[in-house]
Amino acid sequence: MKALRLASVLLTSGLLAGCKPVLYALSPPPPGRSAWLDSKDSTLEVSQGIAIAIACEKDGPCRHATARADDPSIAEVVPAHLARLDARTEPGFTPTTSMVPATSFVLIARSAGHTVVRVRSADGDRDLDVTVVPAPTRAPVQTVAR
Amino acid sequence: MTTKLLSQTHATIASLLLAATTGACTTLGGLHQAALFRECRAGDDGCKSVAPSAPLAVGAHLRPAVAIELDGSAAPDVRVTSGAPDILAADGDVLRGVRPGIAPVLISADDGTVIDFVHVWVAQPTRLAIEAGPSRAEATDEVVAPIQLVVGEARWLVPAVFGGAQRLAGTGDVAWRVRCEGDACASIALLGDGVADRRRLIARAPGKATIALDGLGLSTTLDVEVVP
Repeated sequence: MKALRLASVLLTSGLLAGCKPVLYALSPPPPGRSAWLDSKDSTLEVSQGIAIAIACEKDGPCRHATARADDPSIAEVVPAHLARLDARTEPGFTPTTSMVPATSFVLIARSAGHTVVRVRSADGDRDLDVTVVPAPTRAPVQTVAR
Repeated sequence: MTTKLLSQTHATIASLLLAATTGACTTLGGLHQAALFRECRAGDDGCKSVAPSAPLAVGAHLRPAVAIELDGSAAPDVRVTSGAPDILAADGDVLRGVRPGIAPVLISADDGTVIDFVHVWVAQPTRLAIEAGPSRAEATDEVVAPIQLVVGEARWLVPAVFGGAQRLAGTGDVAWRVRCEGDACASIALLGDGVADRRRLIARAPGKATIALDGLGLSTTLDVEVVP
């Protein structure tokens, strides 16, 4: 009986986890910089001073999604517009597919540190753990005058 | 998935069209919906010689133009802002290099929605040079030796800023001066042509003079001899 209850809890929590929206990257980082978004673990490691576009999906684009960072001085999130339609499937006895506008954000890594971006939508919530790593430093260059 | 692939294919075609319509010297955004390119006056081919995709020099400024390609919509009223103003400042419609690094330039609609973004590098200038040519469009050859002109001949002079081996983008506050002695001062004239950093050198009479160029903390000189 106990095992059955445990299995039920694990199954329920697994299903609930599966119901959450998924975040994934839409743009690459520039050379020498990092922007590694792990959709499974919902983590993002990003270099200071760059921007990355992020999409929110659950059976298609998230509906009525908003996103904000706990600490905008570390990472700021602003809505983005993608001029395209993506397929969204409404599950049910007879699943239907709609073509709807993509849901996307742009995250700007402002300063080194850690913050959480909280995505809220009618399809569920997803928190993204963001670590902004310092930009690499370069040795000073010598100036030459002719 | 097929729909997404079709969308991506369409985005690729749109980005190629965007690049084609704005010329080769464009920097396409991360979302493939907008491009930044250097704004040049009509017919000013020399202006296009520096790709805006080059790093912007510290202390230099660049007035970028924005081209937007959106399905089903003309370009909205957009503004250009910097995601790292301590590296690249956006003063109205002008970008200014503050210190070496990288900064995202955001192209946003009037409600703040980002349409696209471009990462722009800022680099420390290490060398100032003078490029010269017989016409405005052809002033792209770096001058490495004294120039000899006959009376009546002219050359267009343009400053060129380098960071190491790479030509940097942007225009700095530069000062052109003519060093000469006595009668030699009448040998050349250095005229402005409406563009802040460009000059037209005219040979007026036989003699020797030196043109000095200072800007962005660097300097260089060019020796000119006018022969009969």
